[in-house]
Amino acid sequence: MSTRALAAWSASGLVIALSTSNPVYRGVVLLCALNLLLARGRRGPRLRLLLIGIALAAATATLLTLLLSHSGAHILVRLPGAIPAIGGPLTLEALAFGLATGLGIAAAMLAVAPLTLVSQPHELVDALPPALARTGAAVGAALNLIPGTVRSAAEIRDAQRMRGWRARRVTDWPAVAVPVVLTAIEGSLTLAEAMESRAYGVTARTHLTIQSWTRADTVLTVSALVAAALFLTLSLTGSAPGWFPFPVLTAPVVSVPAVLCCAVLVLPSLLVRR
Amino acid sequence: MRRIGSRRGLVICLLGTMAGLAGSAVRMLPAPSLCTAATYPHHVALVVELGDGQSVGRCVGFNASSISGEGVLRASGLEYATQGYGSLGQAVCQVDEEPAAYSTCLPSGGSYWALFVSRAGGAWQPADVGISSLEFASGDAEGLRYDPDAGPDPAPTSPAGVCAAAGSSAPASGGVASTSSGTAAGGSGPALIAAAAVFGVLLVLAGLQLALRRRRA
Repeated sequence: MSTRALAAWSASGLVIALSTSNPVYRGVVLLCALNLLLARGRRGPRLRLLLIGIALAAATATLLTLLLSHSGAHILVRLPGAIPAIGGPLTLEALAFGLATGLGIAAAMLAVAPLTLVSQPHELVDALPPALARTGAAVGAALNLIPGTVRSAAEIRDAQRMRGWRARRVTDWPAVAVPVVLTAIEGSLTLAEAMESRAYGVTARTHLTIQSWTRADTVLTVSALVAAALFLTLSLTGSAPGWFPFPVLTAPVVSVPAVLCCAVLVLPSLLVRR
Repeated sequence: MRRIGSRRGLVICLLGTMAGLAGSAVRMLPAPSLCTAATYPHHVALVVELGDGQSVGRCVGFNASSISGEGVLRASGLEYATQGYGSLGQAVCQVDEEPAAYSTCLPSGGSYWALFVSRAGGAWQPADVGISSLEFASGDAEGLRYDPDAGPDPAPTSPAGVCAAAGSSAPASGGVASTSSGTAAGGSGPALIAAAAVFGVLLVLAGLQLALRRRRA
């Protein structure tokens, strides 16, 4: 699957997830993205880490909404009013709205996750228009730096432990943080020198491999963009209404065409991998 | 590589079959409950005229002999907020996020939501009690108009046509249904079942993808 087709798919998923407050549509987008990551994502711990991060973000959004929004008819529990900000009734409506918000965050994050978990950084840079090639290279190098820094931090922590270091207090952490920062700076300088020694920027960007664009990519791109455009149209004309649980919790109104627009996003995960 | 491909092909065949079954199930369900095809024996039209002049029509179906004014608004799916005014019942303070914020529900001067009632196709009449104290029978209409000016409130647009062909539909055993007039293609029961079917298919697919992924590892 071409990275440009993948970018179009991600943009479509993001548009749908962010343009509606209806949890049904957000849920469908989330499941489509999860299918794509499971079908075509690279193996390794990154997917698990991403899912943990998304779960934490969604849980935080749910908890904050539940604690800070005191509207709604169905009161679950009443906290003492003396507690600043969170004191007052905690309602079922606030819990539902928090869950829908968390679902939206999760769907949006999973929609863009394939750009890093399915594509390689150099493929992303290659997919950019020539005018953005240098910016893309900088962003790609920066993105590559993150996993490198994480690996470096783990290695330095293990090395310090072998020397008897234990993380008991916050003041103990500079023993790991300082070498990690220095290693990251050293890595960046090495990368810059390597790029300069290869005459980076002297001529137009060259490519080790040329990404191919197949008929399947056309189908996937067109289907994703048309699905997003149709969904936006349905949403703007009121045929695919959002959802607001206040003041009384009600089931979301669902439009079958809008659900099908969201479900179209599952197509890339059904492609047979060659 | 060839083995993985054939397995993936098998999975796609299975999923295609499941999707077909789900699609058949959806086709067997009643048509989307547009007002003109609603499956409820009784209907009340709701007309909401927003501050910018835009008019929103909803046809609400129900099974009981009557429905409260607040029940109509709740079933419409529109966002709203009310405030109690003693024996008069609940007054409407906010509909569809209009006004975005308010300190007084019914200010002595300024904008507020005016409530109207139409009985059996008759002309709009200003409501004399709060929305929670109103009862509507089939064929009645509830009107809300957000008047940005103080003083007399002209009635909302006519409710005629909002529940145009509802009387020809067959009765059903469901509860209150909320549907939009005109353009809405969504319903509550059948559409939710269709959405649940899509969820089920996607979940099963995710499970199969996970199993394939673990087998490949």
